[in-house]
Amino acid sequence: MARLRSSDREAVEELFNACYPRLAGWVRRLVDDDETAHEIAAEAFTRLLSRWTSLDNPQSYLYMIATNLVRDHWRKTSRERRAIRTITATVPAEPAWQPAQDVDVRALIEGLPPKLRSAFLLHYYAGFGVKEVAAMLGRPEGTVKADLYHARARLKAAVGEAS
Amino acid sequence: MTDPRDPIERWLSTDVELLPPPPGAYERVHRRARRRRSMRALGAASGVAVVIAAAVVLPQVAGNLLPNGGGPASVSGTKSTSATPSTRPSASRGTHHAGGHPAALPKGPALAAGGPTEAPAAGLRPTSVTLVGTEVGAVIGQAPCAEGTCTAAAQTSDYGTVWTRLGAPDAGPANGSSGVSQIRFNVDRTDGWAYGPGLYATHNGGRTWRQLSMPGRVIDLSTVGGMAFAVVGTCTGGGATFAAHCTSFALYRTAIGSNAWSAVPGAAAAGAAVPGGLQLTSQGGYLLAGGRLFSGPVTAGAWHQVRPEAASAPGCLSGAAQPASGPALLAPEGSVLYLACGSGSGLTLYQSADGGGSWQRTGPIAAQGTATSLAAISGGNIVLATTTGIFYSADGTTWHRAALSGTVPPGGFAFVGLTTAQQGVAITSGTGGGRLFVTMNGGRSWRYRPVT
Repeated sequence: MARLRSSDREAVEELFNACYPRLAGWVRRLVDDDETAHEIAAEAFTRLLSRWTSLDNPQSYLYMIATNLVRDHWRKTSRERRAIRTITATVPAEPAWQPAQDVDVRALIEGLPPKLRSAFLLHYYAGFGVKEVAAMLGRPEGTVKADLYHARARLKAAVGEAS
Repeated sequence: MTDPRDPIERWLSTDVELLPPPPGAYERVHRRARRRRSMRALGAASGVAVVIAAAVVLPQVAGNLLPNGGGPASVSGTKSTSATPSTRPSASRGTHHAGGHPAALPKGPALAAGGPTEAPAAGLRPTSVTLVGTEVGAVIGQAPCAEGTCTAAAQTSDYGTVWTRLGAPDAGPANGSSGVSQIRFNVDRTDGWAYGPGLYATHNGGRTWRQLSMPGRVIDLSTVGGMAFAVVGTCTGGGATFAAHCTSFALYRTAIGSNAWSAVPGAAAAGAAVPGGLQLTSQGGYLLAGGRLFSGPVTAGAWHQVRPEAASAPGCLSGAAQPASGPALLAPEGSVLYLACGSGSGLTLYQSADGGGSWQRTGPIAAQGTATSLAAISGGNIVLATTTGIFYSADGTTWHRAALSGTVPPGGFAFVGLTTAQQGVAITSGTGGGRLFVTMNGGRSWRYRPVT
């Protein structure tokens, strides 16, 4: 995607219309609901638009930001779940967190170390090539390949344990 | 990863289902991005660090509402859950929008916009104050005008020493189901709300306001992070006691910058919602309503009712839809939640370190009068406003009456809030609006600050 100028509102809107549905859909499979997906996608675009004159690859930036926001969301919901478990330890539990359809796989990915998780999501899920992921994460390509290998190995092992 | 039965592979190979943007999403994103660019440019130009982002929105209320802690440092304060008509400012004649949705109201000065300034409307009696950080703030109230009484607002950039005019909605005073009495601004100083019981929003620092339609009376409102939350009640109280006689409540939220409010799952029930029951921190939110405590995230996601251990549960969390035992005031302080519970024998302070799951009785609160508002902040005193004055305690067990300068009306104080461990604001009750008091020593003494 070519460099976009901040003064070119039409180009901005075109980018939004072209990328938002897929980005929001991508996020929705990683979070609990449509509302959270919209919030994260909108925040990613807000950050992009507020500083995009210095960006060569807006789409990469969008997914990178969205990945970080999803990570933050997972951290928060994880804290909530822990808090809820504490609070309801002596009373009948009420399902305060409704798992979505991909929860099992998502939980496994959520459990990956951050270093492996970002590379995994950006490469296997968002569809960026190893070279692009390396540029986005600021790591050598070889390191990214190794991260992807270890991520897959951990997930495979986790699936084996779960089944 | 090649095994077709591998759930990881299945998950990854499933096409992403597109999720189109909701109506107006692009405009909201564009507006927020433009605002952030402006903030960054302003910060760079002035050499000011982005500390403002971590500052506390310190909403305060007077009259009928209560403040909510905004951010981590939290300006805290809680308004009494016992609506006492005599302590509320009365609604007077006033210009009143007959339910319409004015597209653009007359423009007024914006919050912290700089440029030429005007003196506040003569005779302005504030019913609510909101502080954004440790210097900038705003009040809203009623002032005499050609039509009788008009809604007016003022702003300060030095914690209440000097005041200048701020744009205000053409709403009229709180009068049953219409008018406004409270004000809140987000930390960006751009997005703000005038409410109680009506709801008006500004997205340009108060220059213009737009009336919004909500499914009930807006009893409480607070912001934190990128979200605003509002408690909407079904109530029949008249005049300025719009939050009285409520039979049900529901929590709503919206992204800052948006006028699209949606119900928060898990935070609606029968019972009375009262001003000050909504307390937000950067870690999570609490709603004390209907004799129950609700908790949830301040981003997205559902809230839930906190069910305290039966052995330690304070009486005011009995689940009774209507408070019978007296006022119940909530104030977060870091990871500790304070709850002042009224009973026939007076007020008792409780604290919880686990979000309300279990409570520890701290002790009786030695204060005279009916409690109206509670505030606590990390490293500072716990401060309580009552109908006779202001009281403070360093440990929750030993209480002292604060020194006051200036005239305090018979109704005492309606609201108290803390911006830092040293700074705080309070508003008196009183017919037609209150008076603003400020502390700079953690609540030990308070000085009258005229809004002129």
